[in-house]
Order: sequence, then structure tokens, then C-alpha cells
Amino acid sequence: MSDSASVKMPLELHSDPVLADLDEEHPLLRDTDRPGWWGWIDKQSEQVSRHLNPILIKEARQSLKSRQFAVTFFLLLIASWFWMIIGVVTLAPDIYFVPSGADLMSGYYFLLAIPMIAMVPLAAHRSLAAELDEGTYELLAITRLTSMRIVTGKLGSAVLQMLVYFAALVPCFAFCYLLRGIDMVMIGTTIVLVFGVSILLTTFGLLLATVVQNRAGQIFTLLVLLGVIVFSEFLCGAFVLEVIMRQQIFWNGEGVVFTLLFSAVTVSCMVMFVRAAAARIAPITENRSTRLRWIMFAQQLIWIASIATLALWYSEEEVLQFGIMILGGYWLLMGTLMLGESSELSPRVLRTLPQTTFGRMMMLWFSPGPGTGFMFAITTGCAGMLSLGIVALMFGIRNATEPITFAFLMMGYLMMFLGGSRLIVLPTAWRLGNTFAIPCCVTAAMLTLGVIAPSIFMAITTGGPSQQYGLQEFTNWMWTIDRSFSRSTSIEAVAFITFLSGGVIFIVNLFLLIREFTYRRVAIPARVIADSQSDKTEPLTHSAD
Amino acid sequence: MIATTYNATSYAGPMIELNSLCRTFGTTHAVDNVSFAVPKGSVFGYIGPNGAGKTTSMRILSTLELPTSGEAYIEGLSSVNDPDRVRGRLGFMPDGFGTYSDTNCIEYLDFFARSYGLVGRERTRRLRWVIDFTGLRPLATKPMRGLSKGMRQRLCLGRALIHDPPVLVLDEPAAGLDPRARIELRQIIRSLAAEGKTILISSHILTELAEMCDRVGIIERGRLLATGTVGEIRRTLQPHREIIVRVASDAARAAELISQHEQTKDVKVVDSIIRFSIDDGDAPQIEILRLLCDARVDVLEYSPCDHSLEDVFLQVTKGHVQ
Repeated sequence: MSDSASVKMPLELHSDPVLADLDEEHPLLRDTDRPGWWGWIDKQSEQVSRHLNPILIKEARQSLKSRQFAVTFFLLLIASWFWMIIGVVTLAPDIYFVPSGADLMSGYYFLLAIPMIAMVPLAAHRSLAAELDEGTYELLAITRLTSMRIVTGKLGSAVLQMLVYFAALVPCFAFCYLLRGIDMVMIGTTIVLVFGVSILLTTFGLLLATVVQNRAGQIFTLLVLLGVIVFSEFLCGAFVLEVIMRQQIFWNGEGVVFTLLFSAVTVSCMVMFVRAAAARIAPITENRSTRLRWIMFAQQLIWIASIATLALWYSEEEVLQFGIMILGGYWLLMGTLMLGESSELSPRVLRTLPQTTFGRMMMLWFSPGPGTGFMFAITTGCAGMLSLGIVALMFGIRNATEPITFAFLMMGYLMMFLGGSRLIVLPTAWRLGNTFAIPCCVTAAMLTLGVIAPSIFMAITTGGPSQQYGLQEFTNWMWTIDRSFSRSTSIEAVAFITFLSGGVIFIVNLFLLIREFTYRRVAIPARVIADSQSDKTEPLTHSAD
Repeated sequence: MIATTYNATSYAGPMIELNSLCRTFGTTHAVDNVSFAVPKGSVFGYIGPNGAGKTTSMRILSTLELPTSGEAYIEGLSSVNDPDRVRGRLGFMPDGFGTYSDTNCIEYLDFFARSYGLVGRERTRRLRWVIDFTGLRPLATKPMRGLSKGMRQRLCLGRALIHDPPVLVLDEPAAGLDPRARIELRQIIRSLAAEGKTILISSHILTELAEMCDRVGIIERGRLLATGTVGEIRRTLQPHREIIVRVASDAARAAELISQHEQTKDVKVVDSIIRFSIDDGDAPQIEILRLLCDARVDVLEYSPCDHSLEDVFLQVTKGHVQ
């Protein structure tokens, strides 16, 4: 690398005496090894900051001095003091004798929830959407920052803002505790809940920001996020007021199990949203799919464990059926999205895929591509649904045959609708390339057609829609699932037909997948090997020392 | 100690190389079988009308796009196969500014320095160098929203230079700049090339490119029509050289004398000016001048008519858009 210090400086603007010693004044231009106490502080700060995400540093600089943050923060402070004064005045003089912390806490919950559940996710969404919309993302994409670091940096900045908002209200929570009527567990649960919901919504907002990159689409996703935020505010508020504030927190075994399972599902969703957002903005030369598939796999394991635990706890087969139904829907959605993946992989991605026979046997479905995605959704989904069916047989849950029948029914639907979508999407993908929109539209159309087709058929053949459920309704997944929960006698036969039909569609799909499964060994270019060796022998280090 | 991977190697090949590069969008061939190479320390001008495929090729080089076929290399490393290694060696300046309005110049540069993995004293050194080199020192603490277009352009160039890359890809860096800013930009680019940086630059301002580029490539409808120095392209297009002679009197006799020379053709007379084509090379020109002087023709002016880059561009391209 050239010694750039020797380059002639071609430009000089007018000299400004105030800024003449800028490098002496501006902290970013200061040497980090200056002598003295402040020099030591600078050096330690530098040591810490080199491990921080640059996006977090940039976002913190930007957001903490933004007008939106300053206004929100000071409004929050003013509102919290105002609520305290109103509370004390209205409760006085009984405030000395009657425990009234819970009443004040309910107000503080809403004061905290508005910036944390509404403002922070919206700001995070806008921040990432603006990077994509204003072209700055491409500048980041060609640095050493990975897409994952960009997204986690945005998330980190959001968490930092949450902490600042929370810090503003900490004295108020302490005041509530001193007024009695509310214990630390309730206060802690409320805060954890608000943080959890806020982080979940922020990750969802980040994912939505990456879904479309044009301005009209971003406005639409912003509206979707707003809708989800309003719903979450309502749900979270109701939970806090009805369950936490009325001291109905159940810290018995049931409550702990529920909390753990709910937390596991929530955390897995957060991880999924962050990974999906990173995958959406990752350069086209990257493997954007394998990690997401691992998360889907982990989510399924968490879900199976949760549902199996609850089914055994309550000994109810409906719990298992509910779990199987959600799994079927989940894999249909994920499988549809995976159908939109690009089938063209860069040589670099191909090099990172399993190269041994054993590796390919075990990991082929985790390789990126629409074909492997289809197989991954079908095989993993079917295995998961079957596992929940087997749980009923193994542990002797009553009506144990119903979950296993229902599992076969849902497996049939998954193979039928996802396989059907793939057969329709395939020719369009060859012509127009892979997009997420086409598989989503096709699957939605197929699901709708599945519901209305039997009625249309009956209307044509018998002159009017049938009012009675029968075998001909096997494509009507809505009615069939409803009948399954009602323990209809004909459901075994319908499950058999559905599974058989789905199996046929799946086998047809298998023949069309051969090209994607063909083994392609990709050698590492000689220049890369030479460069790697050069890195090992002559590591150039950029260091503060 | 954080090791970076973009250290110098003993690579001796071309710093930028496009090899049969193709990129199609639907039925449109944005880049169609483009190949050229740029040696170390030279400035390569990439010229063509709007929609010719310049930006697409540059984006492929910068790892932001995948080619449909072909390869793009930076310092021998494929931007398709090894984008991570390429990014460390490349400074890319797109035609859009890509700035953050809530930050000031120095925070902006500091952010990108961190993003490229620079830490500690090295980061401070590069920050100082970039703000001095781009002349942004007086504006270092000014918010970016208050910068003029020329200053923003300098800042974006500074961003591309912050990690000291050996290769720079500049897409329309002079677009929208006033004459002074353009001259300053030209100085910057020449000094970077003198320092050993390899630069690929696209521009619509052909006179600018002619002065700062060692070689140019002319692209239209995705196809590279010509590469080389302006002189080489001109010679390829027109093997004969055009000479203009202005005489004080008797232009007809002078034209007759010129046309008698066996290597001249297309002799035309307009008033006192005679234009003719001649085989390229110095000897025939000397012979004709001597012929005129021996015949006591009063020659006021005798000059070859060199084609500018604009002439070459107009000759090579057909004005097709896609």
C-alpha cells in the first residue's frame, strides 16, 4: 500500500483561524496515546469502541441528537412529572394510608409504552428504510460490515434509546414502590414485558423495512407496522392492567412453564426477524438462506417442545392438533417464501456448501435455492407434524389417534398446496426470475381455490352448494380443519385422500428438482489461495499502538 | 490488534480487469461481452451515452451486482467469487451522494473508517490525511446538509479513499460541478494516479476525461466499441491524418502542388485554407511542407487537425439508447 502521507495536497480552501488547529480540538482527530489522565481515558475509550458496532456508534450519534429523540425525551420527562403531581393531588390525603403505587404505576406504564413500543420501532424502521431508499446502504455494503452487523447495529441503537427512555422513568417507578400497593416483581415484570414487546416490534420493523425498497412500498410497510404497534399497545396494555396490576401474576408451575415457552417462542421470532432482515439486504453474492433455515429448524423444535409439554400438562389432544395446525401454516408460509429464493448461486456460495458425500446427505436441504427450500419445508414440516402426532401415541393422551390422523391431513395439505404452488411458479421463474411476490400470490390463490372449488363443483353438478360435509370437500382446508376439531367421523378418509393427493404432487415435484440437487464442485481460485497465504504470512495490522 | 485482509501483495497483473462481462435485465443487454484491463497507476475513462452500461459494469466491479456471465477482477481477485477481498481493495464512488444529513463531515468519515476496520492511530491518521487531501478541513465540523454539491462530492471521494484502497471506481464524479470544482477534481485524480492508484472513471464531460485519462473505453448499448488512448482510437478510426494549410495567396496553386504528392487525398480548398488527408506519420507532412516552401508559396499556417475526444466519441457511437 502506498504511503499516502507523501501525496501532494491538491486543494486548499480558505484558511479559517478558528479551525486552524482542528486536529488539536476535534476529539476524532486526536491521538489516542496522549499523555496524562485524559489521554488514558481516550485510549481506554478507543479500546472499547473498536469492539463496538460502527453502525451503533453512528446511529447513537445521529439519533441521540435528533430532534425527534429530544422532543420525545423531554415530553416523557414532563409527562411523568405531570402524572406524579396529578396522582399525588388526586390521591391525597389518603396517599399516606392507602397503598396507591399500582394506580400510579398504571399511568407510568402507558408513559413508558408510548415511546418504547411505538416510537422506537418506528424510528428503527425509518432508519433502515432510509438507508435503502437514499442509497447509503450500498456504501455500507461495500465496506467490511456484514448485513447482520448493519441490522444488529440498528437494533442496538434502538435498545440504547429504550434504555434512555427507561432511565427517565426509573425515579417514578421507585416512587410507585415507596407508595406501596405494588411489589418489585410486578414492576420488574411490567418493565421486562415492555422491553420484550419493544424489541420484538423493533426487529419486526427492521424486517418490514427490507421487504420493499421503493417509497410507495415503504409507506405501505410503515402502515402495516403502525397497525401491529397499535394492536400490540392494546394487547400489552390489557395484559399489564388486567394481569400484572391486579396481582394476578401466577408464579406457580403452570405460570413458569407458560412464561418459559412464550419467552422461547418470542426470542426465536426476534432472532428470525433479525436474520431475515439481514438476509434481505445481504449482497447477492452471499448465502442468504442457510442460517435462516437453521433458525426455522430451531423454531420448530421449540414449538414441538412447547406443544408437547402443554399437551402432557393438560392431557388434551386439542393442544396437539392446534400445534400441528400452526406448524402446517408455518411451513406453508416459509415454504412459499423459499420458493422465491434465487436459484443462481455465486461460485463463492457454492464453495461454502457441503462438498463431501456425507455432508451433502445431511445438509443438502440447508443449501440455498428454491428447490432445496421446497424440500426443506416439506420434510421438516412433515417430520414436525408427525412428531407431535407420535407424542399423543407415546404418552397415551386420550383420543390419541386423532392427532396422528390430523398430522397426516396437514401433511397432505402442505404437500398439496406448496407442491402445487411450486408447479405453477416454476415456468414463471424460468422466464421472469425468482421473486417472493409470485409464489405468495399463487399460494394465496390456491388456498382460496381450495376452499371454493368444492362448492363450485357441487353447484355445477347438483345445482347448489352442498350443506353437508363429505369426501368431495377434501380440498376445502377450512371446513376440513373445522370438522377435525369437531371429531367428524369421515375425517380419516379425507385425511387419506388428502395425503395421497399431496404425495402425488410431491413426487411430481421431485422429478423437477434434479438440476438443483446435482453436485457441483467449485474449486478455490489460485489467486484467492495466494492472497490467503499472503494474509497469513504478512498480516498487516491496524492498531492503536 | 485487528488484522485486516487488504494488505499489499506482490500482484503484478492488471489492477482492474473485465473479462467477457455480460449483464442482462430481462431482454435488455446492459453489458454485452465487455473486456478491458487497466494497469496499475493509470486512469481509465469509461465513456458512453446514458444507459450505455457504464454504471452496471462499475457496480459489478464493486460487488453490488452479479454478472450474467463473464468475470470482473480487482487486483486479480474476482468480484463475484471473492467480494470480501475485493471490497477492501476498492473505493467506490457512485453517482448518488449517499450522505447522512444529521452528521458532520468528520463523523461521516470516521464512521466509514470504522466500517472498513480501521482502528486507533491508523484511523486518526487516515482521517487527517483525507480531510487535508480533499481540502475539507475548514468544513470538518459542518453538518452535511449545509454542504455545497462540490463539497459533498469531495467528501464522497474522501469516503472512497478513507481505507487507502489501491483501486478507485468513480461513477460520474464531475456531474453537476462548477468549472472550478471540476478543475480541482481533475487535480485530485491526477495526483492520486501519480501516487500509484488505479482509477476507473466515467463521465459525460469528455474534455475533462481527455485531460485526465491515460486510456479510454467507449461503450454504447452495452458493447465496448473502442479502447486505447484517444490517439490510438483516432488512428484506428481514421488511418489518414487531416492537415490544414493556410496560405497568404494563390491557394489554388498550393492545392495543386499538394495534390501532386502521391500520399495525399481529398484535397479541398475554401478561400485561403486547404484541407487534405495524408498517411499517418511525420515524413509525408515534412515533404509537403518542403514542397510548398520550395515553390515559394507563402504558408501562414500548417497544422495537423487533431480530433478531440468528443470527435472520436461522436465518430464511434451512433447515439443509440436502450
